[in-house]
Amino acid sequence: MSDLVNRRPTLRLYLAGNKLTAAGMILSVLLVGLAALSPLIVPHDPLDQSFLSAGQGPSGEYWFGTDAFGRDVFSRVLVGSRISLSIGICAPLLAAATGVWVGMVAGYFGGWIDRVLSRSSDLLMSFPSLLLGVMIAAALGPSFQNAVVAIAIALFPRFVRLARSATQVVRREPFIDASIAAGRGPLTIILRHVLPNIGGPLVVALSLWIATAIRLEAALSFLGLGAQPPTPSWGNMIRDGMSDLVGDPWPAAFAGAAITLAVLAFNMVGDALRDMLDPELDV
Amino acid sequence: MSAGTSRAPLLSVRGLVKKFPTSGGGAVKAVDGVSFDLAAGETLALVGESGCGKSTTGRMLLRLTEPTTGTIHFDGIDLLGLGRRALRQRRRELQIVFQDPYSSLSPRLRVEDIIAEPLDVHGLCRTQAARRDRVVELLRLVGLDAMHLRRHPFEFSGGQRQRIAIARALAPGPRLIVADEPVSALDVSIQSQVVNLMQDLQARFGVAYVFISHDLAVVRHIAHRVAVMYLGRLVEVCDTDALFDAPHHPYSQALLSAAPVPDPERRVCRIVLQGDVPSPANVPGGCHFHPRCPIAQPVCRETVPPLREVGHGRSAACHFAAPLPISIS
Amino acid sequence: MSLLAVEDLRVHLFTRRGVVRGVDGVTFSVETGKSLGIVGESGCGKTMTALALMRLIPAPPARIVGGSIRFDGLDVVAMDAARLRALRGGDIAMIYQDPMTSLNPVFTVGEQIAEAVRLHRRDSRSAAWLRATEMLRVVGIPDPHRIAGAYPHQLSGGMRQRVVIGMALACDPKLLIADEPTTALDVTIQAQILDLLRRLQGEFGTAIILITHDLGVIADLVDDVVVMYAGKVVEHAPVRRLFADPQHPYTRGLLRSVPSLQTREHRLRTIEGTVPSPFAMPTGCSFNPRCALVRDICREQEPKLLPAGDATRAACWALI
Repeated sequence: MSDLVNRRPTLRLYLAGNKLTAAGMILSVLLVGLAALSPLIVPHDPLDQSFLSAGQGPSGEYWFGTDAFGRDVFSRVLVGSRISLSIGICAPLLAAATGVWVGMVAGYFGGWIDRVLSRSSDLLMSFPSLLLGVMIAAALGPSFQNAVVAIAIALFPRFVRLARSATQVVRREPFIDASIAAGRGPLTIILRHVLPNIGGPLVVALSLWIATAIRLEAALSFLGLGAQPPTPSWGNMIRDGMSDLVGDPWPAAFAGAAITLAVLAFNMVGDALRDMLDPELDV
Repeated sequence: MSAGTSRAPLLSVRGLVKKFPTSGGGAVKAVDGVSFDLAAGETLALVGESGCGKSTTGRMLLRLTEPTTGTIHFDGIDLLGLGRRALRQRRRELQIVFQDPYSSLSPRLRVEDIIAEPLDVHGLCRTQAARRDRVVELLRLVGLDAMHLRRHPFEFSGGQRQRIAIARALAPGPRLIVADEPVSALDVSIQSQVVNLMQDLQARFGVAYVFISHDLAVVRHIAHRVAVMYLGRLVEVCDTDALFDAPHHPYSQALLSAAPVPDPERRVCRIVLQGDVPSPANVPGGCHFHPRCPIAQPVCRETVPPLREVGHGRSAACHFAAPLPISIS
Repeated sequence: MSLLAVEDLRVHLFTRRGVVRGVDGVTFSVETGKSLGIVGESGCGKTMTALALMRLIPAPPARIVGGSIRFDGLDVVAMDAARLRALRGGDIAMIYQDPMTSLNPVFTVGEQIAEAVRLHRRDSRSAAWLRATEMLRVVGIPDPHRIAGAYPHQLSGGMRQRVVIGMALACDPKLLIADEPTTALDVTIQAQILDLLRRLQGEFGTAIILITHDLGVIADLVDDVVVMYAGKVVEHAPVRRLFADPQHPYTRGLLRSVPSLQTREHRLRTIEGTVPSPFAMPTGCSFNPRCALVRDICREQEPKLLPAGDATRAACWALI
């Protein structure tokens, strides 16, 4: 019997034609790498204060300048990226890990199961995500774990919704019926046939929500509910920098720039993944 | 042409009804009292146009859609009375092949796992090696090569995918396969390959088919008996040759005469029906076909004609059933 | 002079995986008032050929890379944008397989036909509406005034296809291209639509190009037939000759593999193998891996479309 008709488009083929998104993907990998290695590569100790060097602009020694306490802004941004990116990545992962299951069950079974699960999730979603995050973080007390939980709870219903609608589409496909006809039970079908086939939109959503989670974390720590001083995070650097924006804009400016860059990079990753996984798109 | 009517039928369906609730609070009767028998190793074609309920009937046989009322007896066992575990065991014997080869195979799985799914569920192969051997055997049976084991569905053409679907259906050794428009989505030259394959498999394994199709030429070739459906009801059931040579129900007559014939010399004396196929949500009273029927009488509007014997193993649901040989000039 | 003359048309699809020769040197012509059927299986290039006739090829991935299309003496490939707009819908109209996607769901069918009329004939609103209802009557829709105010989703598939035909003919085109117009319809409705097309062709004298994979539909409606395989024309003959005495092995195989409505055969004839992937076309004649009459030259050189009997042309080395 003669051979094959199609080959799946590869990452290289896609990136070759989309320089901008390739740049975004490289950037996000770079950021994560830098964050991971940050304690090893910081030029200065981020907690090291020096009144003599306070309030300086970018220079050969302090690449991003110094803040009000004479601490190297570059080092603080670098170390702060660890906090911001790890919360920004862990929270959506947690939300996805829980929300996707709920969504798949709701979407597959329909009926009263769907109604109960969807209504509960919608209730949660009706709170503005930042407000919800603030409420939970304030209630639990500011810490790394609690920030992750707070943001995850805020994002959870969005994953439920996405997984539910993607599951409903897949549920109607004949290959699900074929599996039922083979005798498979519903939970196995969900795991084996539904989950792999809704992976595409989920991965895209995950990248995009990582971008949002980074912003949410920055907002939480700006409000004092995230990492506590002297540990730097991008949000609290902006908060501290607010008191003297005219005289010493560097901490806030560079921390803000870092947030923007990270959000942009992960958005691009999300777009790139969506395009790559789109079966209709002609590579 | 019919296979062994004296033996107890493999499948016996009585009064099958399926109602779907509509948003207005009413219900649509997609299938309205369908009854037929199928003997082992026989092919019964369910023929009709869109909305006639043939696909829904096929799905009900496997309980992919639960009937509203009616009975289905398979090998003497009441399928509708089975609990979940017992039904699961019975599923070995009843399988299905779908119309669209592009969505009937799980896209992310490899061919080996797709075909082996029934084997896995029913524990039919003890070892990985036995499983692989069985899948290779099935691939060969449907005319594909063993090298395709590790591949994904998207790497295959429509005809090849349909063969994979047939291999999956054969895997547990079923006695009945419901084939829902299995060749309609394929190119003409591939259709004939797959039809031949299905016939070979029937000859070899004695599997019975409920062959759902709107393509009358294919049905003529593969089916032993034909059941014509219109708006949820059976209008004529008889042996294939008998139907095609001289259909008795006016709808069968129109359907057969409307089928385009690939021969410019033959101008079939065509009965062109007026109007559209009504939707199942808006079913006419009495005989469902009466608004479009060329020989309709007042009684047709009032009384539903029952499906009754009109001689020689043929049943028709018409107050005025009469043979009309399809004439060719 | 032919109404439409296509000469060595080539349309290529530029994908990252390589170039697909979707239409690979297609030549045929259509006379005024006559009908031509283009028959072939999926991927043979028949739809792309039809789209090329009005330069509707999706331009980024695909492009007309060679050959000529002359309509009524005008060069379509080199036509400027304004003349092309007048051509599309005005001189040449096209109808597609799925009437649901050809009709805009948010406008009534009357409005859609009237819009086409106003665009090409510059009629006033009321004149255009009158013409729209007239066209609905012409295509056999009962109660045309009421239906003109209906939305597409309120009509059945057969009615929608009639509307689409009415819309296509409203501006009195010289050529109607119908791409699988009855494939999505039930058999009994298909018979109605084919009857309608036949009648309209007689009344309006429109030339028709009918694209389909269904040989029964072809036998019913057209004067001449072009058989396509892998982007090329393999046979071109009057319809009666094509069915009575097909020349090309692919045509013969195709005709043989259609099951007969009249008699049951013991085993269906098939064409072995499958259509080659566009990225892995065989050298020489594209049909050679599946051909029973294959010879060495078939694997090396592409056969040309040459006369092969009475008014027939075929591209096959075995016929020389």
